Amino acid sequence: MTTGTSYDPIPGRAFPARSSRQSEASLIFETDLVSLVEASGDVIAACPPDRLKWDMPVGQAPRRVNFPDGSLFEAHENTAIDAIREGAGWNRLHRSERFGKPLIMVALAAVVGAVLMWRFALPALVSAAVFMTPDPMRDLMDKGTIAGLDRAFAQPSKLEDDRRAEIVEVFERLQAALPPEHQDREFELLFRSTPLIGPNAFALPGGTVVITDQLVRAFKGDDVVAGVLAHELGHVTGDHGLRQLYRSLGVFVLISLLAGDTGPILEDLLLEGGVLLSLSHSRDHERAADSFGLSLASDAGFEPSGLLKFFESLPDAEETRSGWMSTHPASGERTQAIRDFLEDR
Amino acid sequence: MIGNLQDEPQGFEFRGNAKEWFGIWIVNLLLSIVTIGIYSAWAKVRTKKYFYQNTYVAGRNFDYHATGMQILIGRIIMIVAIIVFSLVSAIPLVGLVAFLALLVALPWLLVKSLKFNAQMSSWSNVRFRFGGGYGGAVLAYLVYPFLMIFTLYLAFPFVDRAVKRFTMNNHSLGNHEFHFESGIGPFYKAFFVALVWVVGVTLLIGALVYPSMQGFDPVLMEEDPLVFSGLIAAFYAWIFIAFIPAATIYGALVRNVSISNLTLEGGHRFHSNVSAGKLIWITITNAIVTVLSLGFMLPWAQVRMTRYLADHTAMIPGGSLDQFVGQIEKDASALGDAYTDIEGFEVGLPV
Repeated sequence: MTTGTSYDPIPGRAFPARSSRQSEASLIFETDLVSLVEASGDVIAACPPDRLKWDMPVGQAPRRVNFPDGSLFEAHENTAIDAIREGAGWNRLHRSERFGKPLIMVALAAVVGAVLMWRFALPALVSAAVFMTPDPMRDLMDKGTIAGLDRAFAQPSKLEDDRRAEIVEVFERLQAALPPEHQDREFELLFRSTPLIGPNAFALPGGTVVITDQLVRAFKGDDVVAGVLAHELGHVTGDHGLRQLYRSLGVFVLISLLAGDTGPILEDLLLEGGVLLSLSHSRDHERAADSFGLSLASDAGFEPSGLLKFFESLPDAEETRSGWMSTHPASGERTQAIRDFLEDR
Repeated sequence: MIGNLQDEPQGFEFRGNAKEWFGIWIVNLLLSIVTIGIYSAWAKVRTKKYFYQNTYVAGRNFDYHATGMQILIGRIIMIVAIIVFSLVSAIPLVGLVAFLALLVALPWLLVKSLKFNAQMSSWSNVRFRFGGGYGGAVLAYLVYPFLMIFTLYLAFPFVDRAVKRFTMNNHSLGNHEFHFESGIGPFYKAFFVALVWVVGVTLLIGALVYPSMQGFDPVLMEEDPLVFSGLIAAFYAWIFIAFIPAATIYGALVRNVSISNLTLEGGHRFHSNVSAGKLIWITITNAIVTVLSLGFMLPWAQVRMTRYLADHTAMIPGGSLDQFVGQIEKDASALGDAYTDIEGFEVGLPV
């Protein structure tokens, strides 16, 4: 409000600083002075208008204003007070919250905004977090995962040295064929025997790729192994592991901060729903790693149909049921995409 | 208007309405989305203010005083801490240290959160206060729950009463302290009723599902994904029908006991008489309506629940309500508050 403007007195109630003692009082405006006056005429507090601390208006709750000494004035004369406070930021916001047709636009904008946030803002935040993750942190995460794996079910590899050397060579050829922007990354190939989970291979955020004896033994020649390793390199260069970690963290934090208090049933639904939607994201990662791996295997001089051969062999091999399949679902759509790639070549 | 309230029950009253709250809620949501969550700190303040300022007892309302900036700073620090924690958790030895550090920090964060929420809440121009310490929080939130495991959770009512004692006895309104004391009987009664519900529902579902399970071949489950997802659905249905109402029953009965055994220095008493059946009805119908309306009826559901709880809560003043005086205190930090917000802990005023 501008100083010097005068308004009608506003009736309400007053409380002294930090006290619950309430009394009927009026807010009286004079030139350059606003005073809080009890019915008896006693002045509780007074100050220049610009030193009043107005509380933000919320719905039709009574408006509140504090004097510098801490005394509080509260009044239900919302129309009169909102007129005085017309230009203030919170008052403009308060007007936009009024129930009516314009809110339909707000609701629509919120829906569109939520979709855009899911599609663009969240991935951008995830990319920023991936970019800021220091390399030593990635290496530590890899070491931790491998240590956990060795404790849980992985055994030392029993592959013959020659075979192992051949596969390391395959891995090095693939690395050499990587696009220039990924050339400065460091990779490490580890061999493990996992009788419990069968043929498997996976990639960790720091560039560690693990391949199991069971997978190496299941296929003759290098093309299948090259196809699988190229696919895993696709996960590493795409930072898929870190992305999924950050994404699920981000979804969790955003949902808990935006949704507020939804009650017990809805809260579970929202968080579980967020996780389910993230699963579709991990399928996107698989497709991306497929197409990256196919080009890489082909560039490195391998027969890219190796990956396809691997997928096609899976359903027949009984022991693979719970292995690669569960984390790498070979849907018809996916093998079809690989076939398309092979034909287009 | 003032002196004659003695012994006359003063009901809590919620004067907000769904339409008005919808407007505030949807604008909060839009601005929070547009700012990628940053505005959610101010949204929290407006939300709290709306519900507090519209809740009245004896003609005087509550208020919430935190600023959006305080909440935002707490949240940023907490989010950075959570990210570092989840990265570090993957590293063997360091992860263990981080986990132990979280165990040590947890009671501290909860006490911080209780202090912040109390200090930022007022009734009739007087701020609340929380005077509980770290030791009490360690006992209530870590030691007792850990010991409870060895009693097969049968000591849960004792643990819950210890938590209620810790939170309620340590709150005060300005210079007047709250006091809560109750025998263990009513807590066990609530526990027993909830248990009867879980067992009853489980037997009932078992009786319905058992006949169709006759001749069930486990191989079928491997072959037919439909059978498998059917079982998963039955499991979730069991969780929903058995445990959510049981938790509501327990919560309702214990709320009545806790609030009815709560006193405020100066001879003021409180009373709560919510009905477990009615609360289950409201919880379930609220969830259904909210889902069917794609979330747009959530404000209506929240107002409905708040109004029901307020309508079944009362204060019985033992004297003048003009005599409370607040104390001047340093501002508490919002760090603990951010933690309980993100992790979904319920702390604060038992209203």
